[in-house]
Amino acid sequence: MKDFSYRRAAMFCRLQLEETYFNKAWKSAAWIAVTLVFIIALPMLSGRDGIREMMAGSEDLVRLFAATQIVFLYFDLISEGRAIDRMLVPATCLEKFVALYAGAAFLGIIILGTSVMAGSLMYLAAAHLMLPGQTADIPVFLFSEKSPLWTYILIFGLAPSASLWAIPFVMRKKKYGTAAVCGALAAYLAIMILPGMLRLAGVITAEAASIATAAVMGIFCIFNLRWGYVMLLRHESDRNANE
Amino acid sequence: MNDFRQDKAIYLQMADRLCDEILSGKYGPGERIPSVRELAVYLGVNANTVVRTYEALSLQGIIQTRRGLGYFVTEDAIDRIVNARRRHFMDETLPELFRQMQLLDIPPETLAGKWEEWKQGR
Amino acid sequence: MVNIERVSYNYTDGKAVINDISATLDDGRIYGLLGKNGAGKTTLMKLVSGMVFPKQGRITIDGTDVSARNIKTMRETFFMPSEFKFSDMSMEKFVRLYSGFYPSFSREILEDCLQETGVERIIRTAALERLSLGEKHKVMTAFAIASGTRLLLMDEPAGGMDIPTRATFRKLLLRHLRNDQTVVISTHHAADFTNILSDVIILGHNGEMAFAGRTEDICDRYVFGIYPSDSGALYAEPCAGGYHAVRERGLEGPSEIDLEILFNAAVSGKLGNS
Repeated sequence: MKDFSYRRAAMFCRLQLEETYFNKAWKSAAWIAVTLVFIIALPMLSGRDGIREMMAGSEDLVRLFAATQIVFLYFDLISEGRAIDRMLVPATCLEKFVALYAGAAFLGIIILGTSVMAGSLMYLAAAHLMLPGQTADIPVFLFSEKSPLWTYILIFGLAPSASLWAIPFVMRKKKYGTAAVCGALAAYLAIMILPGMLRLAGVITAEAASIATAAVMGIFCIFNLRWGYVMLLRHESDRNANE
Repeated sequence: MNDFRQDKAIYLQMADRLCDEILSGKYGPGERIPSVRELAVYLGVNANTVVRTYEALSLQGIIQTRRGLGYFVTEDAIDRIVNARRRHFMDETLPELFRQMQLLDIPPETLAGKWEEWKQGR
Repeated sequence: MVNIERVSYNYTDGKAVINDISATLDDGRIYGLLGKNGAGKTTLMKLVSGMVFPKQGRITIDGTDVSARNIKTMRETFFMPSEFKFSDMSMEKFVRLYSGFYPSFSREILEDCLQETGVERIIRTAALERLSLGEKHKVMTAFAIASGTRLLLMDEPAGGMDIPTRATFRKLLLRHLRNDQTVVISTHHAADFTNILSDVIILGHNGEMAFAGRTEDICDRYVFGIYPSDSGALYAEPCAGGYHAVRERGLEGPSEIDLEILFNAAVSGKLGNS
């Protein structure tokens, strides 16, 4: 930990964001905007019952979109073929790891922030068309309902952090053995849904299950962080040298 | 026939080159010659090779090093170079010539005449 | 100082690409890494730079294991790949984003290299990815030399360069390298770099060490030339003037080093020990 430099981590985060996303800023912005509009509109077209249900659907998709940015950043991190590959840039694995999260958080916030505006506008327009006179009833996009805590932990904490070890884990299944990989993933999922299963079986109350799930997920987040980092430390170049 | 082509080692080629420059007056007695690094960059060779060149020339007393100042042509460099080349002529070039003459059955008497011819042509 | 200790590496299909290689790379020396296609030159460089881990053995730089990816080692190592892509950005931006990671980076050296290779003016405005192959290589080489890292690994730098550019490249290397820097140049064009090398490492067909030696020792121990017959030669190839051969040096004067013949002799196993 003595080697950790915030400056370097920040420089690396900036490198990733600038070279990958802000290089052709309007191109990236356009892509994100189009994707946002598309995924917000998707539930509208699904013909669900009420506007609130549609909005909930849109919100979930937007949250998912925001949370998966870290996956793109991860693949950018391990990509090869550049003049200077990211993994060779002189920064410690920990600094790069932290930069991933910082970059993902940054992108996620931008996406969520933009979606509040975009979503609210789109749903306001939709409401005008579908339920004229009730537009005052439309909630602000992204804040329409209160989901249980564990959904937020799942989307913004667990899924992103788990990706960082699960993706390399699966990619290296040759090394670990397909059986070990499948087994580990199955066990991981099993423990996570255990509280839910216990509730369904009537062993514990819904509220206890909710708390238990949140706790399990919290612990798993720590597990994810550690193993994500370890996987990065052990990451090797994939490309067979084409000589 | 021992006819083979072998290019001299680079460090010796560079030594010859420097000697040529000393003989032609480009570097006079007591004058400073390029540093190891300068010559390496100029000729596009590894600095270690230049070191070898300079060591060889120092050994022959053609150049000398002055601490902190660089390499310099010695006062009697020209004499030493000419003597060394004379020795090389006598020890290497002439015997090789004689070997050829013997193999080709060319009598030594022809040499004087050919020498005159050559001088006239200049 | 780089210490390669009994390193082996093979790809998942089992074929050994680096086979029990040991070598020491000293400061201030320029190593030529020769080997046939597929012989593992690139893999060896990837091993030394820490991009891949040895299956056996280990590599240390100044005592630190490269696999640890220690920051002090990383920021003094620069690897220039044989093929690469730039993003669509300007040189200025590239330097702004990347040079901060290399504490020994020198803007003056970069400018000098760009100027000598004649791309100085283009670089100010052009987007890097749109440059021609030759121009890209000039830019990358300039950055590599300017990085000032103690270890400079260049994989086939001559590949994207025309002949005059190679001469300029040699000149720039010699001009800017410090005494504490170590350079490893892998190449197919052995003859291009003969004069600037201080050491030669030759990899055999099975990734083994076929030969390793200092150029001065090669000069002392072997003679190269064109001879009327191949008798007595360690290795010979017929050519226009007779036989291109390498022999043990006896009493004759030292000759120029012919890296092509040395290479062919080494991979044919004709040179004895390494």
